[in-house]
Amino acid sequence: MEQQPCFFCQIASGQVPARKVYEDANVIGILDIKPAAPGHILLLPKQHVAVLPQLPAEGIVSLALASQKLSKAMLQVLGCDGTSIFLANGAAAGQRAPHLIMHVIPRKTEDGISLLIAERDVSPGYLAELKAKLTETPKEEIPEDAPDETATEEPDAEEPEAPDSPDLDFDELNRIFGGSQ
Amino acid sequence: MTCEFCSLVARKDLILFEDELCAAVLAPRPAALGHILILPREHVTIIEQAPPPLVSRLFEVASRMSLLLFNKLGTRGTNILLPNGVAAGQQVAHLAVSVLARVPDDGLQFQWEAKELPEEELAGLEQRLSAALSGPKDPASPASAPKAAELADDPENYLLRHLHRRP
Repeated sequence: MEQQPCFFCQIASGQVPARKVYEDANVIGILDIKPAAPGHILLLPKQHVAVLPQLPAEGIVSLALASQKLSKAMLQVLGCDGTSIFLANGAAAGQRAPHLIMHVIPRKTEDGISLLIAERDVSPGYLAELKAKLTETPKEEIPEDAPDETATEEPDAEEPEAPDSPDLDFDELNRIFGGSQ
Repeated sequence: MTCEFCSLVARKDLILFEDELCAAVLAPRPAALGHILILPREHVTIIEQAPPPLVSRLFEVASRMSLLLFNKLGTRGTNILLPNGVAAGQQVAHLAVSVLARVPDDGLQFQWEAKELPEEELAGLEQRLSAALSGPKDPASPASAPKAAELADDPENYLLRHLHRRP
């Protein structure tokens, strides 16, 4: 299929042996052999993609449902106190593999795993500006110093249709991360 | 009862997208340059309580919001994180998927130390998780079924016990 076989594709297709605990039509779940905690599972889409937005909807649904089932199974049989579902899209987010990996990690209090969301205070202006950037319709360069006068009180005119918005641009994503096969 | 995240969904002003199941909302106290919370409309606390169509939708919207951050903010990386339970760092007792836009030196540290486990322990984990995932097909081993039901229905279960709103 690919000129350069991806190690994780080989696991997903069974060419490379792994400790498989879950499989459906679109994803495979294997034990991480160097886990953050015992029972740490890697969910791999069978289709080779680098980042989640490249994965077709049925693959995303499979990942989501698999993560829920695994989380439930971990709470039942591993005696953990919680679970973390985590993924990194892109090296800038800490991704090291060329293949999308969703982590499901059994958690215990004070287990030393750093997956904490540290909240920070920001000005209300910052949020209004950010919302304006994210919902602007024409795809343009982001202005360096967007004016701070964006009112938050304006009546909700049209909710932006983000999930089906035609201006979402996959080309740039595919250029950065390589196309899905 | 005021849940911080129920209020965010009701407040409207930070909403980027909403449908009948969930809303994508700007985090009022963001952990990153761009931080979007995908919140179920229905107040559920942990993923085990969420109906599967909701779980699917949360991640579909998370994927779209991730793409939105790539496109509109020019970020080169996003993290998607669902902390399930206090031990996992969950801070509000309302299920949420965070989508975080990453930039160099943003101070976020998502990492862990890789552990070395003996083969026999890995084999045992594989066996136990596989058995739990294959479902209660075997009527002779009903041990896991009541436990799952208890988790889903009992709001006071041990996972939630220490969850409270932040001050």
